[in-house]
Parts: sequence; structure tokens; C-alpha cells
Amino acid sequence: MLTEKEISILAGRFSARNLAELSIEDTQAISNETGISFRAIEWYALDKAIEPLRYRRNIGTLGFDGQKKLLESTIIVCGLGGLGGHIIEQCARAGVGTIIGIDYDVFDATNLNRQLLSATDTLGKKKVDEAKKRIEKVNPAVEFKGRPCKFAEIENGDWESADIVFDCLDNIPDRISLAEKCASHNLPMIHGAIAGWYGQVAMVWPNSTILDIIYKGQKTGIEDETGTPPFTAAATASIMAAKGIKILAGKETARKEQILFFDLLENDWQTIDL
Amino acid sequence: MLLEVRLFATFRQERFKVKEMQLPEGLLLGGLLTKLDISKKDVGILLVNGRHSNEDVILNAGDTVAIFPAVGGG
Repeated sequence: MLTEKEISILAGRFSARNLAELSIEDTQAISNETGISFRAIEWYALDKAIEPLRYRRNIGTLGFDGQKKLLESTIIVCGLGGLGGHIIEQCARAGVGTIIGIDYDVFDATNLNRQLLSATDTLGKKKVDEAKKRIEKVNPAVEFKGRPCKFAEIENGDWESADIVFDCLDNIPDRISLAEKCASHNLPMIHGAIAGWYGQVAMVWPNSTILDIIYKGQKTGIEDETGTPPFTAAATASIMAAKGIKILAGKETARKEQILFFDLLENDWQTIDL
Repeated sequence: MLLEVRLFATFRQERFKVKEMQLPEGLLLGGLLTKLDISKKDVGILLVNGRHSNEDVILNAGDTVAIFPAVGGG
């Protein structure tokens, strides 16, 4: 994360300021003085057990080490709609260092019921551009790289830089090809899908057959009839984000093959072990 | 033979949540779907006794079958 020279510069700045915690203003000032990125300054603070205030309410859960690991992490989020919008928001607030967001689409009126980044003034605008603006506002320490294309078209460097991939797509055939793509780069994928009151989340480890078990060659699910309401999108995205962050922060090491299927209408939560 | 059938999500509508069903010996899981008037194009996860399964499996007395719809939206 930091060169020897940067460490020595930051040591000087931190000791001159006698910092017991790292405020947004201090981060900004140190970055202006040194040209070192917010993310690197926060990482240095965490390394010295100095809490960046931005992450104070994370650290009790993630620890200094977990928070550092998040800052070092890169995620790919495929689809910046109902699921992806909430996931990039949560990952940016959590402090995931780099987010590569892929979506070729623009916002339309049917997105407004659930897609966090859609609003009356963003209709017709590119999802990746709105995502970038939002992340810069929420946490400028996070680097957001927008890719306005299909996931099959991004460069190899993006896949190679990633630690984990979020499947936030909106159709089954694309989800299956994304899982194949992830397997070819040996990347774990977090799958989430919704329809009506119902959501499902699963970890897809490279070469796992879990999506074949879930979909059995189907091309569409019941979402064509039930639609995709806001609470199911947000709930599913939150479960996906928690799963991803657990892995990135080193809080989960066991490779479970498990599907969570939940019903928000009847409050029925099924954990299916394979 | 007697089996327990558990339906999930939209499959419960106008059907049931859990039901003990008397079914003919040798019935395939796909045959059970037909009996329940569940369209195969909507079916996702199928479990028999908690293990994932498919339409071609022969059901046995005492089995518990769980049927989930495919969910693909985002």
C-alpha cells in the first residue's frame, strides 16, 4: 500500500499533529501537503491503531486488521441496478479500496422503485457515471472504476486485480456466463437474485456447480410475473455485501457450499447446504 | 406411499405450504410437479430429504420433497 518514503513522510505528519484519531479534515490536509492518497493515509493510520473517524463504527466489527484488508481489496460489481447500487454504496462506506463497476445501461423510469443510484434527475444517464459520482461523494478514499460495457468486454487486468466478484445481473444466462468467467480467473463470486418477496444468495466458488443446481438450465425466473420490489433488492444486496466483506476482511475462511433462500412475505429463511 | 411436500415462495399460492401426500409408488419428482400443476419452466431448486435433486429422480415413501421457484431478477 505504501512505499518506505511515504511511510517516513506520514510518520512525520502524524507525529507533528499528535493524532489520536484521524478526522476527515486531517486526511484532506495531509493528502494536500504530501500528495498521498486518502486511502493510503487511512491505511497508515489503521496500521498505527489510529482510528479514521470514518471507520469508527466499523472497527468494533472488523478490527483494525480487517479494515486494513478492506482498503487493500478490489471488488468487481457486475450490474449497477437494484442489487449493485446498494452493494457499491455499502462497500464504499465499509471501506473497500477499489470498486470496478460494470454496467452498459442508462437509468430509466422502471428503475426508480429500487435502484439506489436512480432518481428523477438521473434518468437517461449512464449507471457507471452516476455510480462514480455517488462513491466520490460517499467515500473519496475509494477508487471507483466505471466500465460502461458488458462484463465479457472488460480487460483481463480488471479480473486479475480483483479479489471477489458480485453477481448483480438481472438475467439467468448472463449469471451463468459470469460464473464461468469468474472460474476461469479463479475468482469467488457472490450470487444474489430477487423476485417479488423472495431473494436468494449463494457463494459460488470457482468451478462450483451451485448455479446449475439453482437454475437447471432455466432462462428466466418468476421475476417476470412478480417484479422486483425495493425491500427485496436492498435486503439481498445487504446479505451479499456482508458475505463479501466477511471474506475480504478475513472473517470467513471455510468454503461452504450453501444457498440462502428467503421469503420476506412469510418471514421464512431457508439455508440449503449442498 | 406417503411423502411430505414443502412448497416455497409463489408455489404456495393456491396450493399449500407443507402437505403429507399419498402418491403412487415409483413416481418421479417430475411427475409430482405435474400433479401439483407446477410449470417446469418456473422450477429452480429441488430437494429430496435436504439434498439437491432433479425431475428424473424416483421418489420413495417417507421422502421429504422441497420445491423452490427459479429467481433471477436484480
